[in-house]
Amino acid sequence: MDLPQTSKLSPDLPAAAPLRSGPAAARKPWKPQSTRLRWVMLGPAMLVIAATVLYPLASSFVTSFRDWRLTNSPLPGPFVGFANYARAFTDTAFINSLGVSALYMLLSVSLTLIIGLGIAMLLSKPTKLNVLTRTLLIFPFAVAPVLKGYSWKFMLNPEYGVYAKMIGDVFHPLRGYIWLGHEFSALCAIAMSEVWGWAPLFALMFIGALGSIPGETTEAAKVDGATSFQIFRKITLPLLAPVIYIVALLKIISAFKMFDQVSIMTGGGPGDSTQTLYFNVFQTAFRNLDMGYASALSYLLVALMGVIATFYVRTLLKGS
Amino acid sequence: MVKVKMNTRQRAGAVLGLGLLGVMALSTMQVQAQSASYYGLKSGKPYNGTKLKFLICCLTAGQFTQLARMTGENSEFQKLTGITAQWENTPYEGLQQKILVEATTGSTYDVVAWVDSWGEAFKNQMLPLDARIKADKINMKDYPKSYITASTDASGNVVGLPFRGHPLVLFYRKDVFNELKLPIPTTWQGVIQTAKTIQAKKPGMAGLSTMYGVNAGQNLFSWTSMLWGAGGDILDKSNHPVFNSDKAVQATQTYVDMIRKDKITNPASTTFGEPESSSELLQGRAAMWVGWWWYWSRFADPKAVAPAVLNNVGFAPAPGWKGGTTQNYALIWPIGIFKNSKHADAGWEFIKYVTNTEVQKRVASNRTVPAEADNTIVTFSGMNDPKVNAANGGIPKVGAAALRTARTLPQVKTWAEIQSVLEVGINQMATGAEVKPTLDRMARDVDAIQKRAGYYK
Repeated sequence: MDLPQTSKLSPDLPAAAPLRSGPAAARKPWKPQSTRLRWVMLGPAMLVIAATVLYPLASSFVTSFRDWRLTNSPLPGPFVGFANYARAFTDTAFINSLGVSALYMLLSVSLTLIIGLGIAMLLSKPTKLNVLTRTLLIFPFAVAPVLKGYSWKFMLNPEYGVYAKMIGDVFHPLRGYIWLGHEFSALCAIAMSEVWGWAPLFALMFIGALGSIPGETTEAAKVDGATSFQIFRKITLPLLAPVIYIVALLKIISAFKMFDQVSIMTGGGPGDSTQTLYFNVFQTAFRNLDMGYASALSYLLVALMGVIATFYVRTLLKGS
Repeated sequence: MVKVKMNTRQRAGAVLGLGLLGVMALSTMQVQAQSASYYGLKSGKPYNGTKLKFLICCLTAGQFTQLARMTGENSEFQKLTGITAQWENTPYEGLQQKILVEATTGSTYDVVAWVDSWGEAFKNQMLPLDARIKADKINMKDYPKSYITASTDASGNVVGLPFRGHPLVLFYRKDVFNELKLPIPTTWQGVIQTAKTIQAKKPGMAGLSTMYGVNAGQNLFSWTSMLWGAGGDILDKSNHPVFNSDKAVQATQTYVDMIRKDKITNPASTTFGEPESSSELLQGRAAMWVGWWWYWSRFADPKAVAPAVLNNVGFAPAPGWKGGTTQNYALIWPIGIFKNSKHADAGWEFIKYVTNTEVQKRVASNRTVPAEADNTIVTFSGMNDPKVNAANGGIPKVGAAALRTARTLPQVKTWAEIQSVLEVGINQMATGAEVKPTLDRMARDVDAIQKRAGYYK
């Protein structure tokens, strides 16, 4: 059956139909015909963007080539070329934060994907209970990161934390374990506080993607004798791969921006084992007041995120 | 107009009444004028209507709560001067950064109070107060020397008056010490031994509560006490790091051994800051704690402590070093005026009021609301005042004795960076890192910081 081609203009109509008066004309959205008028109307918004986005970007980029410490002078210091950028590659604190962020990214992205996919598989069937549960999935993502940090810090307290107690009761060797007092477990705790917020969101995305998998494919596989695991591995996962790839990239970008929970839960400790890149840049700028170096670090971060964002955008464009 | 006819008696009565009213009005004016000058303030309200912005934190501190009320709307200070002060309540963890940013980018605040070790980074943005101090005849000898050092800039100008200051004090459970017949330790070595005894005889109770967590430099307080007592130091006179000397290594080893080898403290102390560490004593899980003297009022607040701890905490001067000296860190909050403030004179009136010894005595003696009780007072005359001591169990006098030998942290503009290196390093050592190699690495990092800042080449 041919469907009416409502999305395309009829070939009988001229390219630019003349304006008609009456009720039909009132329904048509008005568009400024003059290019100058369009620019005038866009002007205020562009000024705001220029003032709040472009100017700070340009200013901080210029600052990254200066030696400017606020403890020395409130005015920017002299140009030092690429000295600030070069310093980053010999700065043990920056190199440490790069390693911490990379490890944190691996932990949080993999856990978010696995747990998100698991939740999606559990809630993929359209039962009443599943539909109700799906509506609750967005709530963890809506919780402010600072609140997540405080909550998890309390819940992991070895003396009175509910999670610490539950884990200790199930795994006896972990009774009284100081989760935020050991390097790896502190990073895991921060990762879990983030996974708690993101995994349900990813689950919603996966549920949507699972819904688009044709039922006939899985039915045919079952008829051929495939087990559930084989169906998941050979049919579901490959079909979900594009969505997994996109959400993974999104999570990687988010992971490199981790700051709030680090600040609240560990302060970068134990030692410097949870000092992420963002936290390091913050400390450099607002504790050490070394604005030139902090700007350079920020742009190194931008460069890193830019590489990841390029993959993300190319994947999105390929998909559409 | 209706004429009222009065007889002689009535006329006499009217005259007397009017006369009495006049005398009362005159005497009220005189009382007001006396009160303003009583606090060293200008009479006549020359800054009437001024609203000051005061950058500070921690309005839950009893002294701040009371003083905020005494200088806000409809307060005594407003009645005396016409000035009101709006107290900012920035969280402590973010205050240092906020002050630094405000000072260096042109502040919107008039008055600011800061922790001593933060000050060198922005003292050049503060108004020198020497001329005002001299004009108002403020007795600077009534303050501990360490307080004045911390309030002075590199050129010798006084840029802040001491506002809130604390010596370190050893708090202990009186009932535990009485039961076990233990003497109060006066050295860190004595504290460690006493803590071991308590833990052996009272299982489940930590001998000492400590804090090794990375949290705004709080894990440095007890460390500096041991470091200085043992004869070590953080920086030498030319601002080179010297905290990896033999004496410093010994002191640091003792400090970290309390958790690693002696095990006299909660293992979770590696994550503790001051709130968690003080809670160990407040909630009865530890027998001793070295902390700021102002915590004393918490131990008498039934809402803040466990029943077994209520009114059951004694205090003594913070310990020294066996074979060395007793020289503890004295933390001071100077209060000063930003150079670009448009209300500098009004700000000075505010500073004079909140640092006035009589005002501080009144605040320190006020125990009507337990949650607002605070024994903090910054002058020796205030600390030795009988009424203040009676209200605070004698702790002000003990504090005064400690402050005669106390010292402040290095006054260098790079302190924020140095503090970060030190607190991270101490945390690493508390969680297992070797002491000497870690101190050596920290010294190299601090050396690089000092060179970058231009202290030496």
